Amino acid sequence: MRVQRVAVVDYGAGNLYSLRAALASLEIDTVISANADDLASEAAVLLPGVGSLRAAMGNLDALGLTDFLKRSPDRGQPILGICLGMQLLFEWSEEDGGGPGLGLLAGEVRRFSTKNFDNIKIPHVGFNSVEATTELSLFDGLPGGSNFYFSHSFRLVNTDHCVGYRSGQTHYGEDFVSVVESTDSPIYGLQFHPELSHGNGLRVLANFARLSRC
Amino acid sequence: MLKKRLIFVLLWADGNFCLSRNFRLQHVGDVDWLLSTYDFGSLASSVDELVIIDVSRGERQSGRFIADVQRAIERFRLPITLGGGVTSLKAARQVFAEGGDKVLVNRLLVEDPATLAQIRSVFGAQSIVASVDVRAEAGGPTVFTHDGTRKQSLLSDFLGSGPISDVGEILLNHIDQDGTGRGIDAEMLNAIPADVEQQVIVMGGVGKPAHVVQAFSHREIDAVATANLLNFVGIGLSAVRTECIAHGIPLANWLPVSEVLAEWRSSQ
Repeated sequence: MRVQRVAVVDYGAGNLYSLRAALASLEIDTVISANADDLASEAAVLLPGVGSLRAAMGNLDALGLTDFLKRSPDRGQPILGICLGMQLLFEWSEEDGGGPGLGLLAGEVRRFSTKNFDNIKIPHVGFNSVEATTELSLFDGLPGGSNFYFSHSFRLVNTDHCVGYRSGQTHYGEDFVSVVESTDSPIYGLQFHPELSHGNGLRVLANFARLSRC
Repeated sequence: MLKKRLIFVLLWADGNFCLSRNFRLQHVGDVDWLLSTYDFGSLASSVDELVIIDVSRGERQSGRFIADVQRAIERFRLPITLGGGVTSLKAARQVFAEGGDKVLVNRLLVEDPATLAQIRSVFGAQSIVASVDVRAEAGGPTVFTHDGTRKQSLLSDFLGSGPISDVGEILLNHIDQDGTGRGIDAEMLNAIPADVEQQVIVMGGVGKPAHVVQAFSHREIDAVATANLLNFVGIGLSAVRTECIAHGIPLANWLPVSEVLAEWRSSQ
């Protein structure tokens, strides 16, 4: 049976209109909620987000959703973090003076640096290529170097510490991690916005829905 | 590598989409006209983004604007920037709730930088586009606000001013070139500082594909936009895309939305 509904975590992090519209075009309904019980009863959870990671963690804490999200591997419920939602999956971010994320995956999020790399404008806004370093299930049917829409100032730093997941990379002054798929649990992250990336993004969302079939 | 972008701008006033020449508006048709006269949905295969601006000069009808926007963008899966009369955090919040992925601001830059900073703290600089209108003056390209009626400062100074640091992108429009099809103003392009920290989108005067190629020869230019509804909807923008690619300008490409949806439906 295919997924007909996914849950979207609503913690006041801005625009959900485009995400909902993109899923609707795939005939996938969205349950937008800040209630853990509502979120737990759907086949998969999407964690979107704009704004700062510390503010987002504060909101998730206040809504009592932090533990719910941290326990998603125990439930086996697939989770897809988008943009700030991907950054939230990691251990720590330096945004707003620094603070912890959900810690579902190993890694640190830091601001793009202009010190080491000339000629990059921050934020990183626009379409850029994603090179899948290993075969990613979210990228089924998409050629290497496919283009997606990015809009962010912070990114996952690519280090030896990044273990436990397959990744895709994007070049912006440096190579940074733009896609992750855990090797242990159904945990996925996209730094770009699939809902704003024409047919390429729809394909990624369709792949996630396929992976999450109940 | 970050791609260059082609952007289409829809101007809306009092229930109609418009052509603009030197900021004088001509109504050309309502949303039904837009969707039926042109194969408007096919625009998605040739533009990276859409910007839709409420340019009504009198009282705004935001409910009607949003309803028309939502119908116009229904088939599009791309970044949508909405603006026109956004002067409060509440208005920005409404943009993000009702279909906008980015908000366009103009008067806030000069009249209320504190509110602009507030919008930034909630939604981030990457969600804000500054609309900056320019006119040729004796001292050099100069910024005007309030539909081109109020003179501010030289473009180069304006782009270094405090409020600009709260936005992620700058949409430069040239009032004298607007709607003329004579090409993007070279003085405006030359006045953009080489160390500008924001993404720069230029518009005003695009009349043929070569004008777009020419604008992209300036390193600071990240995107070129046109609002020329009659010339560029339909086949026009795909010709621009082809011409840019032929000149080695890196543009994004994607699987067509219709193809992905057809494949998805048949696999169910």
